[in-house]
Amino acid sequence: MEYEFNVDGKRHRVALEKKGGAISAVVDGSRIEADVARLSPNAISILAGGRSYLAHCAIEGRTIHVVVGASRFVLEEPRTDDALGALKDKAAGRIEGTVKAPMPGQVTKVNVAEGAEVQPGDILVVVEAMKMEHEMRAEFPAVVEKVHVRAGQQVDAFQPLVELRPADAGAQP
Amino acid sequence: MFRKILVANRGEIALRVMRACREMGIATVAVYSAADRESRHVQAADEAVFLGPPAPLESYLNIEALIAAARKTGAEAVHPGYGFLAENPRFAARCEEAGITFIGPDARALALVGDKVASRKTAASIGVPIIPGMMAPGREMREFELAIREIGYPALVKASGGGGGKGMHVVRSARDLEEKIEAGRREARSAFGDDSVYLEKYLERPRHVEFQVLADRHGNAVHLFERECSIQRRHQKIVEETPSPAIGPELRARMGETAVAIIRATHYTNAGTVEFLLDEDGRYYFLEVNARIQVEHPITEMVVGVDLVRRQIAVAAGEPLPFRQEDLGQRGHAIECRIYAEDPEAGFLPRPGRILFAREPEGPGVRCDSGICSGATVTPYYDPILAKLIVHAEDREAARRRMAAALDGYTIIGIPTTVEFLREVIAHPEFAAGRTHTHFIEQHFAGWKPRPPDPALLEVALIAGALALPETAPPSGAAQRRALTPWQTVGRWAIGGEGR
Repeated sequence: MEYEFNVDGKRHRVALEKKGGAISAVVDGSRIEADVARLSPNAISILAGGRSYLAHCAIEGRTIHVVVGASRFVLEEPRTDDALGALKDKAAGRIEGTVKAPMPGQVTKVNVAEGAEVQPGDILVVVEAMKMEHEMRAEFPAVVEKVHVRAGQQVDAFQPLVELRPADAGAQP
Repeated sequence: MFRKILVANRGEIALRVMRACREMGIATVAVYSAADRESRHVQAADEAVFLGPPAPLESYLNIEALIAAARKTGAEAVHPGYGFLAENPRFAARCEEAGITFIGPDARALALVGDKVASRKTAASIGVPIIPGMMAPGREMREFELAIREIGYPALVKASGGGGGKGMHVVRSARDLEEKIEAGRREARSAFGDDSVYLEKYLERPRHVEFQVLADRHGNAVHLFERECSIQRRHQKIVEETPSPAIGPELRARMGETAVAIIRATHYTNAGTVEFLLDEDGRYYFLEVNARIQVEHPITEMVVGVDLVRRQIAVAAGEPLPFRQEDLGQRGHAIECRIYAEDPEAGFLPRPGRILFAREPEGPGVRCDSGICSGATVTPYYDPILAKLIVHAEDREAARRRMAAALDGYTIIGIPTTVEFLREVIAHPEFAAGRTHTHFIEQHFAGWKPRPPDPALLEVALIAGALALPETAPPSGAAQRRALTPWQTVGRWAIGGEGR
């Protein structure tokens, strides 16, 4: 699986391949073999290059905070409106159709069913987090292809909630 | 002994007091505002009473609501902690009137030591050195000008009803005397509702050295040695240690005797702190009495081996002190660092928010008096103290290294805190050499910025970040194919990658 993060304005790429308890990672082009153990939702032990690292992580919106020893890193999700992302989108002729949870929380309302047609601004799902309600709305005319969650369900940050198919996109490729 | 105590506070100090109660077999009552329903002190108590809206005046400063809570739960005594109503003579008097024991000095002693000008007079009357300055607040400019002739520049404008550095201004020349006095008045009026100010000689590089005292209701009074609290930001302490690297046995004994003399002269009972400034020539001046358990009390507990909160409760219950001055001594060295929800980069501005993750250090000689946990919300309503990290070791250098290691093991994610800043204070060569004074942070840390993370750890951090993203059920084939960037496949990666 591949990931992209912005750290301090610089784009980094991580490709991970899991092989049992070990992983093979390619970070910005260099290969790292590591043994990893997820100790808790916030703690990951990484044995790599003959050293032991304990990383603490927490996800907040589009950001992952990672602390290793006394060093703090802020990993950000590259925005889709980044120049590169926008170019890619255009070239592929596709529109992001996955509506994801903005942060860990609870789904309090699911307003749509699979097959429903939605218009921009329609509320699809309501997620409650940090005592605030986040209304996840459709951004373009679409057909609801898949609903991944039900009311009352706990969700993690970025967990897919609803898949949308652009209304004028016709059948899937 | 009491059977039930109401703790009229929140955060780490409420937890500290409740721990002592539990160990003494005393039931506890927590009080909480609407902002604190999920706070740890509510969970730690045997009972909890709701006070009111988050604003302190409607909750933790609401005397009648607290008295009603004590009556309703049958609490026989109230521990006020520090801050809020801890040094409020009206609250102490109101408790007494309601037949509830106030764990602290009585209202009369509180009123006497709470008035800075009055306590300066008391100290001077028994021959205790005080900082040269006015013995009463000034009204006319002429009075301030006269005082300046005696004490000279630089001088310090101070609020007579104040504390916490509010209303304090340094005056360096006749040109800005009037302006600084006006500024002091304005701040004092808004902070304490009283705009009376006075002038004192300003010491350039003093150390802040205070003595812990305990006095019972049977005429016994002892000191439990000093705490050096010179490392301050915004005139508020952030690192404290004991013993002070600046005083030897002879000066220590003299200052300790002075502290006890002041406590006796004010007919003070229970735990208190007598604060002094120590100048570069080893002369000390009485500053004020803090009539409460201090934030930094744990370092004394570690080095002297006395549980101060337990003693407070026992003294309030009428018990005599179980030791005399000659029974007390200092063993090893202790340091405390205060962990605040503040941004040191932005002038230590408080920064509320949600603690996404917290991990506190542990180990031999490491004590963490904390009021937080992962998932806790730091609200903007109260003092931004999160926790106190205290270490105890054989000597100062061992304690300093222990503190450095403990701070490295302290991780708080989600809000800015003072942890990283404190790591650098503890590592600073001037701190290591014991050369501390109250302008230490201004002098050595002006324009401080956090160090960039170690670039050698970036790869590990990126791998950890990728692994931290949630793992959920593999997606449908169509969705998988439409994935554009890995972020859109978040939660979908599974062993073997692609759709499994």
